[in-house]
Amino acid sequence: MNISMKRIQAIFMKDYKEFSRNYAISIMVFMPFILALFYNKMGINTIDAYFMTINLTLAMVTAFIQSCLIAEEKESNTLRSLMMSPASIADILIGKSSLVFSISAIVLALTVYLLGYKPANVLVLALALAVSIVFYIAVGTICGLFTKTVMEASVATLPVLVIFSFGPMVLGLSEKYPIAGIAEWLPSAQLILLAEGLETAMPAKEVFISFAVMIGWTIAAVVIASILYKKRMTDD
Amino acid sequence: MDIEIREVIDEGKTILPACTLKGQIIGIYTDIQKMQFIMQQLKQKGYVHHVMDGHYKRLKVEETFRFYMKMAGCPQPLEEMLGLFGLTKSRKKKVMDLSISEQQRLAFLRLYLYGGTFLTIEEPYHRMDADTRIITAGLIQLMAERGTIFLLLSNNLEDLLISTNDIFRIDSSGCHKMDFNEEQPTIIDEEPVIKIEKIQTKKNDKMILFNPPEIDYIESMNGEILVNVAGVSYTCSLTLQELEKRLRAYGFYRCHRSYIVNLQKVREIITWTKNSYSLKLSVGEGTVVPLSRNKLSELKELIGIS
Repeated sequence: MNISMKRIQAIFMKDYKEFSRNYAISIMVFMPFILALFYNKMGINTIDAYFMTINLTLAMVTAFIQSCLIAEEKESNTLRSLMMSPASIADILIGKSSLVFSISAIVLALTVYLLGYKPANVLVLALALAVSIVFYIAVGTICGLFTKTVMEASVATLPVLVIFSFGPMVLGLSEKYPIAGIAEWLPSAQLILLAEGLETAMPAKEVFISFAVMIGWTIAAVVIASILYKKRMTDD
Repeated sequence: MDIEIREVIDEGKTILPACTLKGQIIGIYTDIQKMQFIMQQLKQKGYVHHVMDGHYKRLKVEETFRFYMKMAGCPQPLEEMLGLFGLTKSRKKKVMDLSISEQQRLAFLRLYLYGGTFLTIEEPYHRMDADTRIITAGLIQLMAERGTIFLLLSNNLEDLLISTNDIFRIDSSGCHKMDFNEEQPTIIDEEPVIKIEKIQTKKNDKMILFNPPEIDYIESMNGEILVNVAGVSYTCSLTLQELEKRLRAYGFYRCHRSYIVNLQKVREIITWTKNSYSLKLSVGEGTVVPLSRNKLSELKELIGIS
């Protein structure tokens, strides 16, 4: 598969302009800031609360924007011509994803700052967040490919929000209902475990397991997204 | 290059017959269902342009140009490209604020840049104003001269005649090369004498007689002669050649192999490209009749214009 930086850059710029002028979508980036300020002013400073906001941001900003960008191409009948363009699948997906990655990274950094959260090991946390962003981008791509319009796509990201952002809350029930313990293996739950571990000097093995689980989810999501995209390309 | 179209059969009935097409700019005159099947088959071979293809409507025109030019790696300067598509004036406008015709011109940009050697276009002149038609016809001509093979799909014969004479009519019985009765124009040297002449036509088994000046134009379609009067067509059993002979004295002119036009009703000569013309009639809402390129000078002489 040939990758052309020029085409990736062209897609990045085009999507950036479309995104910044579509206020219905771009306004979403302000949601986490409001939430973060709110928590900060209320004086809540537990890891759980911090990561509630961070996981919400990943679903509401990363997955939401990615799915809307793809669904919008479908809605305005431009995805077909984009697929027939000289750009390869990798060009298109990397171009779009790199925009969403940049937006998410900036929003997350500001959110962490506004929350007043000072992680013990910034580097490891940043790495974990980067893996998470890639995962949510892939999930957003899947949502976008399954839907036909921006409106459908924004509804389709709701299950993502419920499962991945609120999933870790179920863990509280795991003593009463052991089945709820499954939620521990969600990438969002692993992110929280990792962050808690960083504060209490968790052994390297545990860190490694958390990363492995998150990377596993990410690879699975990326593979599914690529297969779906290829399938859509031959379908219509 | 030959273009092969495979047969499509549904429930024992042939929907699309198998056929082989040849030419530089090939016109296909068929219905919308067959067009869909043809486009489905040809998307493997080259870029296929659909009528419904959309735009990034929040980008400005020049941003759209830059995007597609970067995607295709086109080295031409932006100014030149904008001029080629007649969009220099609206370069700062957002795509969603453009008129439908300007959007159609912009849609052709993808064809121009992603084109390659083989292009299929669905309804190339559908819902276009005259300026856009001229620009589009010019671009198709330009690309054809550079070696791109075009397949134009339409269910409007006049549209296809703007760009080509290699037109195939495809129906379930097969693919027929449209024959525009390539015959030598007959030279009539006798002095025209005014006499009572009625053209006999048929409509729903009724015989109807027309005075020649009533007739707007006559066309030959699928071997049938259609006499058009005030927007309604009537079949006629005479051949075009016979009609031409009888109507010459009334100011009728054989402007195309399959058309005879009443010159009294011609309002405008439209120039699509430097060798593609049409006649616009003063009747109805812009009835347009094709004009062969080799007939233009003769016609001008006949009606005394330069």
